[in-house]
Amino acid sequence: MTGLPRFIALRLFHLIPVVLGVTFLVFTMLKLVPGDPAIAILGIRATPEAIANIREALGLDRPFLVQYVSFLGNLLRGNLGESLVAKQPVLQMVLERLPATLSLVAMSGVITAVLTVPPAVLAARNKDRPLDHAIRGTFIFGLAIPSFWLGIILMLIFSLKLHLFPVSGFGNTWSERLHHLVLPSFTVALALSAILIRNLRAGVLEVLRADYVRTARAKGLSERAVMLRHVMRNALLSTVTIFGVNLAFLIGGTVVVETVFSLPGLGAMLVTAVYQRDYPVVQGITLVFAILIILVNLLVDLTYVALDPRVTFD
Amino acid sequence: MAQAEAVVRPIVAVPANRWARLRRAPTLLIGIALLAIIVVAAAAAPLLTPYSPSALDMRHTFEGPSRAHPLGTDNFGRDLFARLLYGARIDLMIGVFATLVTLIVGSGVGLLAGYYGGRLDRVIMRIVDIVVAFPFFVLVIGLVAMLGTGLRNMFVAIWLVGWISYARVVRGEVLFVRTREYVEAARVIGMPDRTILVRHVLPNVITPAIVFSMTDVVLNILLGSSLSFLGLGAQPPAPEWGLMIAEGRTFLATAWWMSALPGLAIVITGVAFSLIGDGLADVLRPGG
Repeated sequence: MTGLPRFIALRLFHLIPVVLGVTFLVFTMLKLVPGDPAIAILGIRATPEAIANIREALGLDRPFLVQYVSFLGNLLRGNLGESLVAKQPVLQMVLERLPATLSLVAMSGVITAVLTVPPAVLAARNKDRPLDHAIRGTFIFGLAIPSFWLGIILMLIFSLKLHLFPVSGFGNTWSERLHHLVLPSFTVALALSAILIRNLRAGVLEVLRADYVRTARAKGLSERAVMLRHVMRNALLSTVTIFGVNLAFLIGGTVVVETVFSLPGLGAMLVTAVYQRDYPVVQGITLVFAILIILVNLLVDLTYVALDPRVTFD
Repeated sequence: MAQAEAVVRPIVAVPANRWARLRRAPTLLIGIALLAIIVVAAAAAPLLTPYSPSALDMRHTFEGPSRAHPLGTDNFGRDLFARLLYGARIDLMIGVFATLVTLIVGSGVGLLAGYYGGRLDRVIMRIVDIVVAFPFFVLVIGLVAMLGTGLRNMFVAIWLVGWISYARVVRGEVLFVRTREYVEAARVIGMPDRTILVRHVLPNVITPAIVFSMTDVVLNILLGSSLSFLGLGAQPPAPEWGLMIAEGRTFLATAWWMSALPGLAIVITGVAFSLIGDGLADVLRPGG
């Protein structure tokens, strides 16, 4: 096997220990519950019978390693356990909620790009001038804004006062959903672009100093052509990497934003499960988020290879 | 021994021009000034307001700003200015305490892993790989779910995850520093590992960790207030800012200031630490 298939196979191979570790961590999380999880769920007045039932459902009546191996075996069969509250398979609940979260992540990603690229390029091209300071200052502010608060303020202004967007929920048709997602996505995106803009500005600055940019200018290319064909293409490379690194941040941000806007996604479900002490659901969602990030990082690596002709698969 | 000292001194000592640079780093000074105001306001809260942050007054609910209540009152008639002042104590504590412990533990782990290498390093880096596969926020919520809600368990959850960033940063620096001549020299003259680590390695690797810790304070304040907002951190009637935002949410259409003001307090505190971090990065940058 050579080239791309070999590269992908190798990457997948290297993922095995990480995925195993991730499952182990999620599994051992349950051991952090102080005392008996069954009593934590049911309360101290529960009947011994009910406690025994919960212990059996959580597999607590067996030795630690046996519990882990059967947890892994169930995972391989696509069994994430059963919700203690809804009495439904966790996987089914996750799949029902996944579309809302993925749409939010996708739309936030697009808005992040729009919010990050133009100001970063402007700041870099006006390095150390007032415009640069103004843009960087604005984003220092952005970094300190709690996203749940920003969401509430946006909701107050654009939904309650101006009636431009729905207050909460997800809608049924595509256009309705898009409309519902605008404010939540913007909320997630602003926090992320506050982090990214610094990196992209540094990336553009570095490329602007490169020899090939000077050559491009020297041979009389228009500034527009230099920026689009030479600077942006190269500066985006580093941004793709940084985007991958911060993806976990983006996905983490959806949890609180989904709760603020009552979006029926995984994050909102996670918070509800915490209130209800529905441990299998908490474990399931945590695991799904981790797997999601591992997969997208793989995708980012592949994009990087595709964007940069200098990187080979060997 | 004396010779090794002589070699090391100039590298470890703070160059005189840093003090000159300090005066030219306005962001650092503005940040420190802003933070000083917040700290003094939090410490002197009882002098600045006659109200207790938890004193109910059901005859004066949802009041706008007035001479008696400079920032108005909430749904229980509690003075918002007093709640913001006392809340600063909680949120500053969250930011600083959460960060300090992870800074110390993470840097220690990174120092040992980078210096000794071998199996210890491999095991630690495997753990790091696994933990960074999770979204930080989701993992912390998951841990709080298991440990139980409340401020104390929130700290434990943040500590369990937060040391990772410092271990990574410091380890990377140590890998570079441990091959330098002054460390080799110290080893050759038979200095014990502990002395080398503390006196020669640590001072040369800790700067990036300290610069990052300022951003981390902001992130931890945001994290702590987010968890409290979700009902998983500080519990009522604590005047924690995130919790206050959550309590004001129900009255958004009629008493928007209940949620808006604590949020502003978070932003201002965050900006203070961000400015300090930005300035520190400039001042401590080697060679510039």
